[in-house]
Amino acid sequence: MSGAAATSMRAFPAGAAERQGLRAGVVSRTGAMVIDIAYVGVLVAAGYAAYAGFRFLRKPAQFTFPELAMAEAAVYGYVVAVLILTISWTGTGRSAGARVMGLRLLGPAGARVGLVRAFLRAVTCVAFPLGLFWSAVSKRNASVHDVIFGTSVVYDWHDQVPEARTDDAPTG
Amino acid sequence: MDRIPIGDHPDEPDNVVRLPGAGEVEDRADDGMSYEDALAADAESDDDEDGTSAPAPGSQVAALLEQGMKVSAGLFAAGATALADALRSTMPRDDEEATGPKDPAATLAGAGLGAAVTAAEAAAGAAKQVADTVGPAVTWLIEPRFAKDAGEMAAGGARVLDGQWKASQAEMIELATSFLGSLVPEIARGLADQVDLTALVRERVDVNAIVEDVDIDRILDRVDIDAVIDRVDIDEIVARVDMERLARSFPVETIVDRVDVDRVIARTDLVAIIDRLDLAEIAEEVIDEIDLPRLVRESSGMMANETVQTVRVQGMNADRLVSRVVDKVLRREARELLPSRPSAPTGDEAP
Repeated sequence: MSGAAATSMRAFPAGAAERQGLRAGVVSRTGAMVIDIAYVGVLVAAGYAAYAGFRFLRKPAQFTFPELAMAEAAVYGYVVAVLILTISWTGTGRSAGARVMGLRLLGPAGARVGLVRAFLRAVTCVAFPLGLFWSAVSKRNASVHDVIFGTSVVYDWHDQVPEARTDDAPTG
Repeated sequence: MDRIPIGDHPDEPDNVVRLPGAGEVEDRADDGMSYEDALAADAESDDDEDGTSAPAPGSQVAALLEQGMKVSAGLFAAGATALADALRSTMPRDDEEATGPKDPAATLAGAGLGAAVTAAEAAAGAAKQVADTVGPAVTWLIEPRFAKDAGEMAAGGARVLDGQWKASQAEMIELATSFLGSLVPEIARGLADQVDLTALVRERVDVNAIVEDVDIDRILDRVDIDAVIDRVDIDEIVARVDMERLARSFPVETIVDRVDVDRVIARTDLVAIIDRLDLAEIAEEVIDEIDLPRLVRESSGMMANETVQTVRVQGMNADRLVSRVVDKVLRREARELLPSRPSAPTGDEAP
């Protein structure tokens, strides 16, 4: 579902080209977050199905679906989300949801964020996702996590990935 | 076909060779003396000379002179005869004209002979007149007997000369013939210069009639086509051909219009052609050439791209709308959307 945004966009619709690189608003970012949550849910479900299949292949006769409590699933989802967000932000700067919505996370110097900063921000985001809505009020469209880690989320439909940052010390 | 009236031409061209003596024959006719009369007169004079037992020395000199003149006249007559024959041979054979009084060659020959005899007699008469005048003085100086011997010697000399003339007559004729052999071509050339033969042939000759009589098959039978072809350098001819111009003037459109494509296809064994094709191999090569995964990726990507772009644009518009509403509620200026570099967080950004 996120792979569709991987294609290059040579011609932008009217009004989109001049807004590239500007800080994104709360609606786009919320959309990206919803997509990310759904993506993580699908991944957790896929993992559960894979585990069930493994169990079936292992003991087909005694096969029963593995029991998964909601809290347990939430923990799995939390871990998966942190991992995915960390990898995505350090790699291309955008998660699956951000890729669909054409957003990119930039570090304090406008470059990609480092691993530590990305990991800490991912943990923060998953633990306190409502912090995103501060971007609706913030004069710079900054969420709580942006304020903490000095990051910013911008419109960036281009496939070109910005340079990685060398100083990876998180601020705040 | 009309005959070319060369001999009957009323106006004689200027380049016609006029034989000397041609006019003198008329003078002779005016005198009322014919060629036969002249011969008879000669014989009579000979009889007179023979009749006289002791002719005067002057008359003997005159006889010698007359004999010399006759020799010259004979030579001239032979030349004139040969010239007349040569001229006659160049004219068309027509019995009526050859024997008729209007035959110019015969007239020229007769004129030449008459002129020669007349000249000889005139010279002889003049010499006799001189001899009659000078003769008595010579007789007085020379003894009569000696004179008689001298006369006999002169008569013998004349006979010798006459014999020599007769002996050398053939040689003279031959010399004259060779002279005419070189003269006739000159005359013919002069005639050709004056007469436009091409125009004459074009006007008078019915070429079509001649061509109708020509047996083309017989000519072609004698032509060795292979030998002709062997002598033709095809490569050189081809090298000289302007292929570009040839191709330009080639009516390709006309030929293509005339080709019945349906008929050509109907005669084509398509099944045999397909049997000879390795379709599986061709299909594999085509698939190898086409990056099918990339095609699928791009086509599906394009479809998804439009949807994604729509969602993104709508998200942008919603972002702006929310921002304006919030800004209006908070009563503040427009937001700083351009990320600063480095964009360090500030205190006022605290949640």
